[in-house]
Amino acid sequence: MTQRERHDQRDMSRAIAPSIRLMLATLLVWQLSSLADSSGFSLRILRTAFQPFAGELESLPPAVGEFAHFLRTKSAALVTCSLSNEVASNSLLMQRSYEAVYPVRIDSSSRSCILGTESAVVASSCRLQLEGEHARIFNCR
Amino acid sequence: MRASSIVGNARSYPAAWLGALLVLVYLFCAAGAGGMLLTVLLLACAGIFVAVASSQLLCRQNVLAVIFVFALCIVALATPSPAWDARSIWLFHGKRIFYDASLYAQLDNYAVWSHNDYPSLVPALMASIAHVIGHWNDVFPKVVVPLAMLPPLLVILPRIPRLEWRMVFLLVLVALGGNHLVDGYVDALLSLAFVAVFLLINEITATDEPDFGQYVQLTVMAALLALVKNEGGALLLCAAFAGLAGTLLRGRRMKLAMVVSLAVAILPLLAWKLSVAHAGLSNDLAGSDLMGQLTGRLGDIRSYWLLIDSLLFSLPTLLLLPPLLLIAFVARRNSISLYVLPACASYVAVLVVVYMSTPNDLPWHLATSADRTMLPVWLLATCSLLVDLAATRERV
Repeated sequence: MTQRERHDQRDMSRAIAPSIRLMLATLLVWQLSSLADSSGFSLRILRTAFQPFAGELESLPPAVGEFAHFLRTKSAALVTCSLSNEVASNSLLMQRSYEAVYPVRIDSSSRSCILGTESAVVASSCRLQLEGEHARIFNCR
Repeated sequence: MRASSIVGNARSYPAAWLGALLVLVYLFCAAGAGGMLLTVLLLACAGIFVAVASSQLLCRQNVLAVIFVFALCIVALATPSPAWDARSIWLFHGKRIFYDASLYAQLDNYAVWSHNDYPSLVPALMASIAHVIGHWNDVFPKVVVPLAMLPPLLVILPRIPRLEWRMVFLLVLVALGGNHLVDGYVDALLSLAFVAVFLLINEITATDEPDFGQYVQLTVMAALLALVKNEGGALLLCAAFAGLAGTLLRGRRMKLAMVVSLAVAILPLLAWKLSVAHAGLSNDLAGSDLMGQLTGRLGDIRSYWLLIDSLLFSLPTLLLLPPLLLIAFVARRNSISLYVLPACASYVAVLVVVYMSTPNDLPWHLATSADRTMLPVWLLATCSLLVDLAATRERV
């Protein structure tokens, strides 16, 4: 390749570079907007991103969201709770309950607070303490 | 040190400065700093982080990385956090550090399924932001992951010769990383830190007299890589192995300062692992019948097929491997691809051993993780191809 041809090639690549950059930038923006879309982007979450309990409703299964809400607002000074059989046998509900209600700890020996989703009481000795649309808290002491 | 020389140094090595601040926050937490002292230290670190990052906006080489990370942060702040591992491991550990005011909160082994042995750099950063804000929620802590991607991106992108190809690298990163860039998973961060460490090791190996700043940058990036998650230690070993192979192929002598940098970088991880061992914890792999599972699967032909299918016959591997091999063996020592091969091959070997000895059901384990565990290999291959496709005169 002669020097002249090399110069021509360089000029041509310089000429098309801006349009390639524009195309790639457009692709990147489109990709990022698809990523935002598939991740559940919401301006409401963005506006409240630094407020207490933001995103809880959208991130947790409804029953677990209610557990966290009950324990925060209605059951003062609770340190431990246990999980009903239905919740403990569902790994999603079980893991989400552990982390969502923290610093209240899940302890299988706790009888004063049992987190459940069952509509009936978990045992005859238990009484329903709090009831929501998806979740219930029982006291079996 | 004068203020002007600090600014000059920050311009030359912004990644080292930003990465060092992240490691410093972790070390504050590890040392037990709390209350007002921690708030002041964190605010000082955040101030330097913003000052260094914003000064880089003026630099053409780095503006793309800063804008990209900013966009990811906005997405992370505007999306909920339902992702399984993000909640069960990283956000949960961060929440525990925040409420218990201790980096070592998870070492009581509460909720055994949450991998309490995992290093806690990312949770510590999440808890630190919550400490400054004053409360925990399910949204803002996960912004830590894209923010922590800035230092490795500031190492990687300037080493890719053209702006177009830097954009291509980011396109591949978004295509392969997907939602894991913003949902609280740390695999994309781990992969970027691995690529950055590999590039720095390769650069030091290829340079006659690397300067002190390059070694500091390597130490910081390697410390970040090791502290992200357990795989980080294995990836660091693979990058070091590739560095050794590169030294031998180039016919050079091993640089003692590089060995010292890597040794210093793993000290925080060693300290963490000592704490884990002292608490009597082990990981799910080591705590299971490792040899029994391994020998059982070694005799089962179906296991080999599953591994080959998931790791080698995946679309990114099929697209990236042929050009990587071609360039490595045609261009040989002039290509970076040649030195990438030992890093990728050794990490795939580690993955094969891990999957063969997993206590979980192998098809399930591969189906739920292979796309994440292969991400470091795919991103390193992409980066090296983009560097090698540039004419030699264009390379940094």
